[in-house]
Amino acid sequence: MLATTLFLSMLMLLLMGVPIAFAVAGAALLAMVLLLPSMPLVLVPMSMFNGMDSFPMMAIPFFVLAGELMNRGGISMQLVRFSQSLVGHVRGGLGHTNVVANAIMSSISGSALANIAAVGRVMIPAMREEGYDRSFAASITIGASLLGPIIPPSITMVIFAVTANQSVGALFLAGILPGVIICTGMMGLVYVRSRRRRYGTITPFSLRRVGREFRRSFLALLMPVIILGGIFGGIMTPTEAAAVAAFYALVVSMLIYRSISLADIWQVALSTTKTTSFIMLVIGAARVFSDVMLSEGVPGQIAGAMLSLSENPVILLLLINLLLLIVGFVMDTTAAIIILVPVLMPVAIQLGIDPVSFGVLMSINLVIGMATPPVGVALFLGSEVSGLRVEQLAGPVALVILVHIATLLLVSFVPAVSLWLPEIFGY
Amino acid sequence: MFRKFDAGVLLLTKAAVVALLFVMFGATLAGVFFRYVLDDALTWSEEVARYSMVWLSFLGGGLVFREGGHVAVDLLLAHLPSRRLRLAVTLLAQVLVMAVLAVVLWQGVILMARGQYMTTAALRLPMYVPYAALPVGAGLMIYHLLVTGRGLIASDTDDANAPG
Amino acid sequence: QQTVLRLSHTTAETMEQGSHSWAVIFKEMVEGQTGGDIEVRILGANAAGAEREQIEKAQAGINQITLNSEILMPSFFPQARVLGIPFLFKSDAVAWEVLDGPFGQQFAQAWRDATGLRMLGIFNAGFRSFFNSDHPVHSPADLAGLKIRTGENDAHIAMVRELSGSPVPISWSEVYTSLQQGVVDGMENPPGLAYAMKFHEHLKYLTLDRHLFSIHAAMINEATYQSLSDDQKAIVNEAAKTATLVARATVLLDERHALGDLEEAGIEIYDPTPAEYAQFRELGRPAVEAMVRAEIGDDWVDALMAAIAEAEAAVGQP
Ligand code: NA
Ligand code: NA
Repeated sequence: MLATTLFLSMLMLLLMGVPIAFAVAGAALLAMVLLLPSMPLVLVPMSMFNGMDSFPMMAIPFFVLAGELMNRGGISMQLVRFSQSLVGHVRGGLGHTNVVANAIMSSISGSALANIAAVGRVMIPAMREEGYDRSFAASITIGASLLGPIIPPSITMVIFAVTANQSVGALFLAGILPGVIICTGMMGLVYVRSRRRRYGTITPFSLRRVGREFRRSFLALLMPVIILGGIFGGIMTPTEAAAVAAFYALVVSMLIYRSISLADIWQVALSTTKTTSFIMLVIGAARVFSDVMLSEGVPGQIAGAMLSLSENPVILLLLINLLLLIVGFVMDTTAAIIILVPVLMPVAIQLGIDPVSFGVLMSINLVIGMATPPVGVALFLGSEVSGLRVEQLAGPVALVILVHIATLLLVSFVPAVSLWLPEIFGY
Repeated sequence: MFRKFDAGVLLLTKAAVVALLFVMFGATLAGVFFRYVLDDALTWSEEVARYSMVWLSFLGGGLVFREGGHVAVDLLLAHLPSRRLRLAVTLLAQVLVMAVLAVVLWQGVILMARGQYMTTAALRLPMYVPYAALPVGAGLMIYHLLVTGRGLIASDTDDANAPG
Repeated sequence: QQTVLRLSHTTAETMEQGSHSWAVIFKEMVEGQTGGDIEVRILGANAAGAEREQIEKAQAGINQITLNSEILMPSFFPQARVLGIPFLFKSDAVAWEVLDGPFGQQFAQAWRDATGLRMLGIFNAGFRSFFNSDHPVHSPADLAGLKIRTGENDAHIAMVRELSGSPVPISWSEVYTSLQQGVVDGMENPPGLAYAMKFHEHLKYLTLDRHLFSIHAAMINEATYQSLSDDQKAIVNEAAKTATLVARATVLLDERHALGDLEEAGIEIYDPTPAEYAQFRELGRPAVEAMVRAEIGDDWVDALMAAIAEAEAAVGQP
């Protein structure tokens, strides 16, 4: 009863156009007023506050700040040139460039949107100019941008780690190999399509050019080294590494590239606070929702119901994936993680899935949701950048997303794909 | 007159969130510097940073409203048959958002009152200092929502007068 | 009609943990003896949030019972800082004598007046001691140069500093990785907890200096308690009493087991001589005691010291 009220009213509010944070908190509030009259309403602000009051979560604004600073300094253009020098000579060169530039950008930024905004704005028009189909260019951009939250650093993984009480570092490491697999798969897709449709001109490969673009990109390429080296080298906590990365980005863009003015910094700071505020309000609201669920033992009931569906772990795991994919159609990644971790984690543990591996599985599933209608922020932004309507894009994107789904199945059934790297580093 | 007031509110909010971002950033960097460079631990840096983030998030919420950054689904809305119905659903949605904010404001004040005998762990500030972010933020969000809501209705009537 | 008591705690949901065994025994006794009129719903393993949040939720009546450590209690009731003075109790027996006696009752009353939470029972999580990965520590001087993880608690920080270690406050969730990655050389925790959290995997030495008796308290929202019938109150009190004894025994047994397991895992355990213990105590206590006196006055500190002296005589502690 409570579970139905919570989830249905959330869906209804979302469809009415209530912003995600308020749809989630509103559903919880409605359920409390209707079904839990003895529950004090002070739960609402208390849970919101406590959801946000977290040191590890502070990595989020710092990663956003670092990404924005780098971007403002024109780094995405340079990364595109560097990527082109690496893979521009393969058939479908600009498509590959798009994928590789997104992958590199992903090791600096923590989200998919940052990638589309940075790389997509450059790549979609460039691919158009070389005769690639517009919907193909846009769908490759959207698909590759999803690497943002899979390749570390990742805001999604930070939120999962904090919610599931896992190590942020372990999740970051676990995302690397699936990220590489998606990247490779997408390049394969670009290659096959481009051969068939004779897309693109080919720029000859030159080691000298690679060297030159590498030197020009060097300071940006140091950023993932600082972040990942800082965390995995045992020097800093992820939050500290994120702050140091942002500081590095500030110094590089102000003093070395001199590409950024004080007015730019004001803009960057303002846009960082807006992103932070948006994510944090969703986090706070989702905590209210999750606390209401928890107080009535809803997660245990749902977990029990799921486990009674089948005895076969393969079928259960497929069901979990399906459920998450469906949730991703309408729900924001952040809210989905906070609400569903307490529900699905016990099931995953029953099935013998490692929590870190489950985190990767959950992240990829929900990240795919960013590219599916009706609510897909990556899809929306991709449509805005490409000038194509969401309906025109959905089909081509679905094709690209098959790569992600294949990777998802790999992560689900071959634990080493996610756990191999964390194990090497002793997590 | 109102426009001036509104511009002032916006500018002040922006200045506050940017300042909070840099306080948070500075405190965390100071924590790193003291721990790794001076080999001496700061006890307050984490707390300052965390509570700055909470304040930043609640104050920033209003700015997000102003620029339509709170992602909402407009699929159902777009498919509603009449403009009047769309307006009705939009208004209902706004009222619901207001209701949530009103509860955060009202219960946030109660939370502050609870927090007056409590102190934060490191700085020993009264707990209502961080808690005040909730009612203040909710109040500001209500304000911004009212301002944008006015615009929403106004622009809709403008549409009605537009040709075609 | 059924009353639901939501009980939150901070430890893993296994019977090796004092808090969880408290919760389970309490639940079984209360539900059984009230014929199901009262349901106890356990929200363990920080499912209801971190320590502060759990206390606040119990105060607000969102949850009704919480089992929580003494560490954050001063945020709610400054006088609780008295329990954070290091090297107070030399043994469990002395601690229980003090905490179950008139001092404990006086404290519980003052705590209830300040927070609206009634103490149902006091148990512990063992004595906190120093672990490190670098070299054996026999006396405070050996702590010099070691980075020791502490909570975000100025008393603990001051104590480690006075004992010549370098305190590094790190949040609980990051302790394992900080040890693993060498961000810190050691930490101070009860052996049972250290073993349960697998912290020993990146540690080599344990010094049983027993600097802090890590108190846990079970508390119930006073308004909820008063809303129960007299029969129900009696059942709750009786169940709490039994649960408290079980929790104390659980922790005692678990500590014994953990010391054996730690040794087997290759941890070198050192039990300081009385002279070395005295060194730890003489260095580690005065600064924190002075801090506490400055902050909350002398009354509570003096009362506690008197109670301890009396208890030591009563249980024949040397
Ligand atoms: Na990333
Ligand atoms: Na979607």
